[in-house]
Amino acid sequence: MHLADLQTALRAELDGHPNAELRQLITSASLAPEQCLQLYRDLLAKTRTRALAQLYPVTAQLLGPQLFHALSQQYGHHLVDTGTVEPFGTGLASLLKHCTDSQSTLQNLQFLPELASLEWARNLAWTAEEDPPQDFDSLIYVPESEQYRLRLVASQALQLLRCHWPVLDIWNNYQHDHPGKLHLRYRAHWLCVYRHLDSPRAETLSDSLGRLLKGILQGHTLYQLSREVPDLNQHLTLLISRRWITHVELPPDSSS
Amino acid sequence: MCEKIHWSLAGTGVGLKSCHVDDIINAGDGIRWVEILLEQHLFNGGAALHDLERLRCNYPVTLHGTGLALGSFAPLDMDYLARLKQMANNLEVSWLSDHVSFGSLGQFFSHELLPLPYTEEALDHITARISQVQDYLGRRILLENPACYLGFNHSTISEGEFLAEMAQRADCYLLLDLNNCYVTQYNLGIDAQHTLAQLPARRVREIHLAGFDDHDTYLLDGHNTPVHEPVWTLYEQAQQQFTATPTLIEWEHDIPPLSVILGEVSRAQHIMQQAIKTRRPY
Repeated sequence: MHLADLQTALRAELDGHPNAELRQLITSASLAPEQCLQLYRDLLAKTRTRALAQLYPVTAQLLGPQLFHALSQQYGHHLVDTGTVEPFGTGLASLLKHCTDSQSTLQNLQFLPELASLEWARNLAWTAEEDPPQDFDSLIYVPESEQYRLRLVASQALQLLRCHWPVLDIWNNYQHDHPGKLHLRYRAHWLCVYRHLDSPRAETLSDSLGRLLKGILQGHTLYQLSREVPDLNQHLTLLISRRWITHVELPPDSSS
Repeated sequence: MCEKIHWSLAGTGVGLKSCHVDDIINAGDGIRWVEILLEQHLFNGGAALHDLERLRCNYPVTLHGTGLALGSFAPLDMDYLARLKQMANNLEVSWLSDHVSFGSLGQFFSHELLPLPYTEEALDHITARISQVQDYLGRRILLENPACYLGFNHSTISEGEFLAEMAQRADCYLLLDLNNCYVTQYNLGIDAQHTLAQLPARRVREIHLAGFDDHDTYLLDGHNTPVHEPVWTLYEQAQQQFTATPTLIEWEHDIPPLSVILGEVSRAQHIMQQAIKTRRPY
């Protein structure tokens, strides 16, 4: 068997598709070919589960080892089916959404997709690229007539989430050895995840601040933002002092 | 022509775990160098990267990865390679290493290192890929022998011959993992001492030591226990053959306090010193 064919066959075996020709080639001192292959399947599953649990520790704790392992298996199939090239761990929240919608065992954990989104946002904030030093001095070079076109640039670590379950409270609760009882109240709110002194942090935002950050992250101009959020100036002071925005940019004028 | 090797680090090092960063920085002379597991630190910013910069101020560092998939038929991941190169340059690492295996295959991503058959075809394939990577990085890399849980009966070359020939043809170095050698010996019946004897000393630039899980009918390369006695015995033999080769203690799961790992470091350092003392002058 040629090397390329062998690799394809081994890959298929690890995905659960038997290949008789490959099995005839496999040798071991004391295991049958199927046992060798199962060993690799188990190792893959175990490693994947361990890696996902590092990214989603509270989700893993809430689901328990068996359910989380099953979810991890499903995530593995999802990776193969979709051929995703995104970083490992992306998309677990959407898979959880599918699972919580379709599986009765997860009826009491409807908040899990949002909790997983929070945990993923914390990972992104923790590992995000460094921001350039804050710079608003260049504002003085922008003519007043052009200022309406300015865009605010957010910190690269900043993540904004629209949640309905109290997932920040749940996450905080599970940082203790003995988590207390969960009080689940369904209410739409904004969560901001950011990095402070190298650590990821999250906090709840007012509705106007949440809408403002959403506009900034979508690249809206100062003019658009001022129409969307009436108390813009008040919020801008806060955004600058928290280093949630780092600088402004003046995009090329497409009308000229 | 006798190749002159510049040894940019020496002695026994430890693999970096994030829970040990401050302890390692404060460990002083007990640790000679630190190996960074690339996949756990390949970030663009943040605490993990800052930890590496702090460590680099105190120790020589090496990079060890599992993502090059040098035996794979999938195209090289040039994005991964670019990030690897940038990180190696930023941290001024002594060297970087990966494995003789294939993991990811196109859209199939594998955390596990999958074994290659030891054939001329595989040798040609991996040699060409190593050369491509070395040309891109502008430096030689080290390739590690894998722990195998299966072999292929159409292999035509022994593991030792394969590694030696690969290193010679690609002009790369070898990272000899003695735990992997022992695990493969147990699982596949390949004589580890025979493998060692076939390796050219001037190509072996690093040795890995770790613990395994004994499942009776097979051994797993667990990296979660102290180094086992048969592996220490292999290490004593290896240090006679590859004297003063820098050695790393790997411990990745069920991580104990650093002091426990430093006990293993101390034992490896002692064996290395004994080998240096008894080395025949040449």
